[in-house]
Amino acid sequence: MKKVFSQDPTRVLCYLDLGRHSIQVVSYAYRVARIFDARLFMLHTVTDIKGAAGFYVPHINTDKLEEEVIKAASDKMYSICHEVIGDVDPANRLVMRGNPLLVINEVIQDQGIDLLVLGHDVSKGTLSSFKVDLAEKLLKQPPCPLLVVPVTEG
Amino acid sequence: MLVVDDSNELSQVIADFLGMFGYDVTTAKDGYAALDLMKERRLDIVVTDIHMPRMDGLKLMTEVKQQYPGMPVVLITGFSVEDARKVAFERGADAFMAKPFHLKDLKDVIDSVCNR
Repeated sequence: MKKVFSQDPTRVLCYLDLGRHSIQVVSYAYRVARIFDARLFMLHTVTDIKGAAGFYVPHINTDKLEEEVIKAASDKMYSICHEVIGDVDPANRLVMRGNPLLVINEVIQDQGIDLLVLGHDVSKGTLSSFKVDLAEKLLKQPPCPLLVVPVTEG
Repeated sequence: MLVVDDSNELSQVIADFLGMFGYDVTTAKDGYAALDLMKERRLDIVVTDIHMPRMDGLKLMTEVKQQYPGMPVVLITGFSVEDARKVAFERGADAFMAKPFHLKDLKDVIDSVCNR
């Protein structure tokens, strides 16, 4: 049975591409979470090279590349959170491998998320850097209420 | 920035990584797709693998240098590295990376080329 979202959000998930507008998105998500006294989670996904390719990629140590991307993403997320919020429980800062939609759905289920916050880059017309097909799927079947934050330069 | 590689996953990982450092990265899977994209978008630098089907990275670089004089091109390869490096610079490459590489080193090379 579909869950009915009729109450104030208690667990907010902010999906970040960790690009140059992420601070704006986190700032807004943090303000919303404070208004509702909700727990705020941050999520970034990285490409699962081996999982996506399904075969050996020549001349590339895929484990090392993934490790390097995950380390950089974790550091960047820490830095953004620290700048906007201050200390954030590491359990609320998630960097995961895989298809963004599948991972978002998994986190929503696992953590009981009832509000998803995404950034919309007005200049590029993209939703949190999702490819068009992923953004369309998300908007067609949103897993929970969505809050889209338009972000711009300056 | 345009990243060209026939491995979508590798170019996506490069895009993921560089995106965190403020680069706006577009990807293409071969030289023809890259040249089509360059007609539509303003780009500042091209990073391309050498060994790709249809049009390889050296041919792409030649086309880019002809059509967009001054556009920096960084070449990447895992094959016959020393030979490829020599040919790459003879043909006008701005930088060269041998696989396997650290993403941080690739970023440093791109930063350096962009700041010249």
